[in-house]
This record gives sequence, structure tokens and C-alpha cells, in this order.
Amino acid sequence: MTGRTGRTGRVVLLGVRLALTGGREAAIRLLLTGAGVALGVALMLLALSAQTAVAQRAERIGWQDAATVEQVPADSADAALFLAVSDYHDGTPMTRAYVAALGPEPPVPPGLDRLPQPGEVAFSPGLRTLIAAYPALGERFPGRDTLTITPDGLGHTDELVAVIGRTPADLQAVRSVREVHGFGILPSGNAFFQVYRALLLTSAVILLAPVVLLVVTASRISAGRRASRLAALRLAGATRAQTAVVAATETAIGAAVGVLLGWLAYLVARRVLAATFVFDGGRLPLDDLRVRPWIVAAALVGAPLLTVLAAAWRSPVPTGSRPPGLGTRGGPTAWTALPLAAGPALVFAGARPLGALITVVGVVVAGPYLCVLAGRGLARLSRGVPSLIAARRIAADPGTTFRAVGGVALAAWAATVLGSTTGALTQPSDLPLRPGVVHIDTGGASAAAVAALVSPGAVLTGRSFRGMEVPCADLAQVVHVTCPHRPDGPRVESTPGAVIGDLFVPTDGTLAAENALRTTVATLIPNAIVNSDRDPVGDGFTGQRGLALAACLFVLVVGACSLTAGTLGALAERRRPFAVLRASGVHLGELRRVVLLETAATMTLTTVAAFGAGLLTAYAMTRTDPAQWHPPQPTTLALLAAGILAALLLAAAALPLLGPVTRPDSIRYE
Amino acid sequence: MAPLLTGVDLHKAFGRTRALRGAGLTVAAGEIVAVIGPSGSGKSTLLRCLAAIIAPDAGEVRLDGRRIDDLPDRTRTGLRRSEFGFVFPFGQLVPELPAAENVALPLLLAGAPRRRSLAAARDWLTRLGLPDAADRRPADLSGGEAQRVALARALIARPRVVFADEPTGALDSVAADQVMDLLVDAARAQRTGVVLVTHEPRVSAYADRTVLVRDGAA
Ligand SMILES: Nc1ncnc2c1ncn2[C@@H]1O[C@H](COP(=O)(O)OP(=O)(O)OP(=O)(O)O)[C@@H](O)[C@H]1O
Ligand SMILES: [Mg+2]
Repeated sequence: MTGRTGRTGRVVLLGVRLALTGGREAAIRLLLTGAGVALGVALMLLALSAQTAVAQRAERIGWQDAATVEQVPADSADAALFLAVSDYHDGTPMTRAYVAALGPEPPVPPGLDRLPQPGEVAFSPGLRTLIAAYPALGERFPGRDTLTITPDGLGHTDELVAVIGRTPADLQAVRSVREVHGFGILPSGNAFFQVYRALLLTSAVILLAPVVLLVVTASRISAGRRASRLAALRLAGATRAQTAVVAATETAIGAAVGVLLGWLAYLVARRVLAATFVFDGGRLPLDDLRVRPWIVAAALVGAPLLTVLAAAWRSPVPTGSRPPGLGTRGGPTAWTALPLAAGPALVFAGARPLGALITVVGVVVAGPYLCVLAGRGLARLSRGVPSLIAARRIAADPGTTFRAVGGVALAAWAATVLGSTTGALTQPSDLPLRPGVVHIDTGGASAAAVAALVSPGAVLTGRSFRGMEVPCADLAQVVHVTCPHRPDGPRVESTPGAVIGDLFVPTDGTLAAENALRTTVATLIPNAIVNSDRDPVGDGFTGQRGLALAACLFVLVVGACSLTAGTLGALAERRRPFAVLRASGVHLGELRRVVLLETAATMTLTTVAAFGAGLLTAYAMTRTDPAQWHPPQPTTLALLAAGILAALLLAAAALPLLGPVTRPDSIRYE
Repeated sequence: MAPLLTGVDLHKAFGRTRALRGAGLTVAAGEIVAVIGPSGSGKSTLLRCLAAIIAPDAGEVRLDGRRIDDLPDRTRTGLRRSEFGFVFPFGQLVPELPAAENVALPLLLAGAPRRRSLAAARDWLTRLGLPDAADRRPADLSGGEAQRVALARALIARPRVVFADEPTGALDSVAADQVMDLLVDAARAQRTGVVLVTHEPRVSAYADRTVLVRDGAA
């Protein structure tokens, strides 16, 4: 028994030695594997901890939705009247809540140990500081400042929140006020965070897929060389299992180094994220940015395991000088495109993350087949020798070809999905306010209630099932609109009983004027929602476009790395025949054309397919909320094209190596 | 016989290794010249200089009386393509191309139509005793078969000179004889000059003339 372990130990040691002293090629392979794994591990942990942070925040501020969420579990003997209204200060979101106990034991939101009594106000530290700087703001929160909302009830430490204590009689008259029996809102009850978590999960998948491709490409770089080295081992008497151990050892070393680096990178990155990343108006606290220990452990063990498996899959079981993947299997068939079609269908059926996952997998599974198609097209379209060689190379090993271009295709898919779903959120509203105009959504107050707010130049609108009821010419005074506009209707009479929908009030445009008006509105109609052109458009999704762009860029960069790694690997493997071709009078330019055509043809087709899949996925994902569907704009398309071009250029950056690597006077006969 | 290719007083150093020190050689049309000598004596370097793959440090190479060693790299590449054929000991076939396309490469590179080039390649394969190899990839050929395919590729464009560096280096004697017979017959028939580098007397016996290289001089 000890003898056997000893022998295995020696084989492992041999693997270690081959990996560490295998020359420049082995070093590059080690480096690429390590970098790929590091990137993958860091990213996965980061995505998971971001999700934890978002979930934590959802749990802490869920109480603000107590009046709008239907089934809140009761956690107290008595009830309370409650209303939370979103407000802004100079564009910063602020929550103004009203509460009135309906008995001695009312529910209490997290962050408070009791409800504020009528005449009392509970402030978050951030809001208290703000009021100290803008004393006039205090009038919007009438009452004695007696309570402080602790971080348990705040999304982030700087959040601006006030809970104003009122008598039940005060609040009964206010529209939208609800009787609540508890504030323990489950995050699952919060639609916004649910969507957001699904998005995060999907993005994690989208981000990880190209990393996996990179890792596989990296660990399979010049698999041919390794195959011949292992063949030599087998000739020297090593068993199949022993050569497998040698191969696995080499990959495992790279993966182990990568996991360590990835873990360190994650520790740094989560601090950077906590310090710089603003999500929904506030930073994510470092304490929230964490993953459960078992997930960390699983990642640290699973990533190298996955890498070793990926490298061993279809691993060179050396039989001779046959280059890997040549003529060993039938080519991929059209059936492999099935998951690509099934993924979006699943998304349609409602299984969003699963559907997205299957689509990503589908792009990868169908990739080699698409490459075969691209090769056939290339052979048909062009008769030159470079395209002939390129087409034959694609056909001979579509899997390897695809791994090189797959990352870019995934980037295209991700960019398309993100660009077509979130673009709408940051689009300016279709009726942007004129400068200085403040928009008040009265929630259906009477003309009498808003009379005090109507200043010269103010425009009132009625509200019906058709939307705003107002003459377009009037509306054009306060918002940027070209008449005729669809919601055109009769002028709203300011007779006391008329129901007012919206009120547009012109001001001198100063922050002080806006704040004064907000305070007046809050006093008269506590449930009204006030917006000015200082407020961010697409409330709640601020910064998401930037996030999406960053994600796409990341995927693209990883894809480009795969492309470069793939190109380098292909060069290393085809070194000798290419050198001989050059000796026989083939120009370097023709060899360059082989490499470029091979990349361009497969990348074009897979990217176009990924783009189509992305459109379909995005459309399916937004089916339940069509407002989010947003067909890609010319700018998105231009960005996509530019990204792909950049990736091609990066791949072309490997081309100068083609010259020295295939120098005809370097043909050796080892 | 007017010389087809001549190399005179060729010198070439790689760093401090002086691979060639005044080597020279002449080949006439249809003539087969064997270059023999101990390992490391500079045989392959001489071949590469003569074939305009590398430029010598001193001396000159002439094809049909015109100097070719001092031409720019691009021109030399074109020259190799149109005037020369090459056979190396192994691993020269493009692994992804079936045998027929490998053979047809020189014609295709010269811009000949695909169908005609492939037909010619099949003819050559048949002539070299490989009628069934046309659609097989190099990895599925034996060493001897692969060398015959390489030979067909070297000869198909009717080059003026074929350079063969240890063409039988990786073959057993039966396969080696077969390859050499075919090379000699084809060269005679096409009046192609052959520079044959070898260290096997058995192979050099096929040549009309033998040149001995020792310490970079011939
Ligand atoms: N590209 C090169 N770079 C550096 N040194 C070289 C290079 N090519 C050849 N040499 C050196 O030049 C000398 C002659 O080499 P060459 O390959 O011409 O010998 P050879 O006669 O063909 O030997 P063999 O019979 O072993 O093939 C050797 O010492 C070799 O190491
Ligand atoms: Mg030699």
C-alpha cells in the first residue's frame, strides 16, 4: 500500500517538475490557467457577496413598503396606521414616513425601539445632519426630534429617513394610509429586489461563462505539445493512469495558484466595492459584502477541480503524433443548437434565471456547430488558399476554434440582453420638465386641497383612464412636449370638487424654492409625490446602465483574452507545418490571413447568433414588464460592433508572433 | 551541362557557431547531388542557403546565372514558391488538409483553379502509389505514405530544383527505398535538379554525384 502511494507521489512530483521546468510554453500555460481561475474565483465570490448585500439591504428597509405590500405577517397585538412617501433633497432620495399607533402594542419597524408618539419624529443620522445644514428642511418633519433610526432599519448609513408620529385622526384623512400589523417584510415580498436578485444571479452566470471558457482555453493551450510529451512518457512505460496524473498535476498547480490569487483578489475587490460602489443611493457596507463560509470553501475546492476536469476532458490520451481532436469524432450536429432555442423558451415560460443559464450554455454547446457552418461558408465564398486552410482548420477542430471566439460571442449576448432590458430605465421620461418646474403627483386630491399650491403659471391636469387630461398648449408651458401630443384633453376646472391628477408649478429654479414648495406640499397633501428636474430619472435603477456596461466590458475583455489565448495556442500547435509552408514559399501575409479568416468567420457567425439569442432572451425576460423592453439603439449596436472590432484587434496583436514563431530557418528536426 | 544552381564560397555563422566556412555546390538540370557529412557539419545550413531560405553572410548563390542570395526576403519567398520544391523528414503536411489538398497547395497558391489542381494532385498520388490516400488526413497516413505525399507536393508545380533534407530520415529502409525511387524517377523525367541532404550511404547511392561537407566546408 505504501509502495503504491509512494509511486503515485513520485508521478505527482514528476508532474510538478514538468509543469515548473517545462520551459516558456509550460510557464505561459501555467500563467494563463492561474489567471483564468483567479478571475473566475474572484468574480464568483464577488457576485455572490453582492447578492448577499442586496438581500441584507432588502431585509433592513423592507418596512418602508409595509403600506404597499399585501401580506405582511402580523407581529404585534395592535395595529398602526402607516404611510411612507418618497421625497428628494437636491436629487438625493429621502423617505418620509407617517405613523400612528392604534393601541398600546403597535408594530415597530426595525431600527426603532418604539414608535414615535404624535408630535415626535424619528430621524436617521443622515437626515439629522442634512437638516442641521438646511434648517428650513426641518419644517417638513414637524415634531420633536426624540428618536434615532439605527442602521438596522436603514439601507445604508447615509440614508435619509424620517418617521413622523401622528394621531390616528390625522392620518385617517390621508389617502394611501394603510393599517399595518407588522413591519417584518420578507425580501421575497419585495418585487423590486426580487427582480434585482434575478438580474444579479443572471449576470453572475453571464460573467462566469466566459471565464470558464478562458480557463478551458488556457489549460488546453498547446495540448498537442503536452500530448506528445505524455506520449513519450507512455513509451517510457508509464501507465495511462500515471500520464493522466501528470497532466492533472500540471493543471492543478496552475489552478491552485489561481484560487489563491482569486481569493486574495476577492478580499481586495470587496473592499474596493464597499468603498466605491454606490447602489440605489448608498454604499454597500463591507459587513454585508460576504458569502457564507461553505460557499467560499466550495469555490476554493470546486474551481480547481473544475479546471482539472476541463483540461482532462477529451484529454490527450496519447496514441501517436495525431494532433488533438483531429478525425477522432464525428463533427457537431445541428442538434447541438437545441438548447440555444430551448433557453429563451424557458425564459418565456417564466423560469428566468434557468432560461438565461440554458441560453448561455446553449451558446456554448451550439458554438462548435456554428463554427462548422462558418467554415463551410468560408470555403464556399472564397477560393484562395488561406480561406481553404482556414475552413479546413475550423472543420477539423470546431471545438477549439469556438473556445477561442466564444468569449466574444458571450459578450455580445450579454451586451444585447443588458442593453435591451435596462436601457429603458435610464431613458429620460417622455415629458421632461422645463427648468424650474416642479411636478406634483397629487394622487387624486381635490381642487380645494391643492388651491394653496396654485401659483401663476401653474398647470393642473385631470386624470382618467386615458392618462393626463390637459390641453397640450398648457402642458407645453411646463414640460418639453411637441403638440399635438396624445394625452390632449379639456382644461381642468379649478372648481373645488374637481379631482386633480398632476400639478406643475413653476419656481425660480433655486433649491430653496423647490424645498419650500416640497415642504408646503408635504404639509397639505402628505401622500403627494414631488419631482423636479434635479431628481434622478429611473428612480431606483440609478447607475444600472453603468453597471451593465461595466459587465459587458468585462465579458468582452475576458472574451478577448480567450481569443488571444486561443490564437497563441493555435500558433504553438501549428508551428512546424506553418514554418515548412513558409520555407516552401508561402508568404507570411498568407499565413496571417489564415489565422484572421479563421477568427473572423467564426466570430462573425457566433456573434450574430449570440446577438439574436440575446434579443430573444431580453424580449422574453421583459415580457411580464414590457416597459423594460427596449430594442437596441444604434448606439448600443455601434458599441457592440466597436467591442467586437477591439477584440479582433487584440487577437491581431498576437499576429506579429506568427513571423518569428514560423521562421522557416528555425525548422528543427527534434 | 550548364549549371542550374550554384553556390560559391558560402559562409554562415549563428552567433559564435560558424556553420558554413566556404562551402559550395553546383547542380545541373536533372542532376541529383547528395550532400553528406557528419552531424553538425553544416549540411542543412548549406541547403537552406542554396534554397534562399536564409541569406549567407558571404558568398553567392545563382539560379540560371542570376544571383538570388541578395534578393529581398519577399522576392526570395516568391522564388521558393515558383522555382523550388521541398521535402523535410516529417511533419510538413498541414494536418487539417486531406492529402490531395496538401499536394495541390503549390498549384492553388499559384492561382490555378481548384478542380484542376485537385485532379493533378490525385494524378500525382496515383503515380506515387497512393491512389486511396487523397481524402485522408496526414494523421491517418503512415510515415512512408506521408513522405510520398510530401514528395508529390514538392514535385507537382514542376519546380526547377527540389531540396530534400533527410527525406527518409524517419523511415525504415523499405519505405526509404520506395521514396527515393520515386524521387529519382520524377526528377529525371521532369529534368528537376535535386539537392539531397542525407547521412545514409544507402540514400546517397541514388545520387549522380556526392558532395562531402566537413566543418562547414565542401
Ligand atoms: N538556426 C540556428 N541557430 C543557431 N545555430 C544553428 C542554427 N542552425 C544550425 N546551427 C548550428 O550550425 C551547425 C550546423 O548545423 P546544421 O543543421 O547545418 O548541421 P547538419 O550537418 O545538418 O547536421 P545534422 O546531420 O545533425 O542534421 C550546428 O552546430 C548547429 O548547431
Ligand atoms: Mg541537418
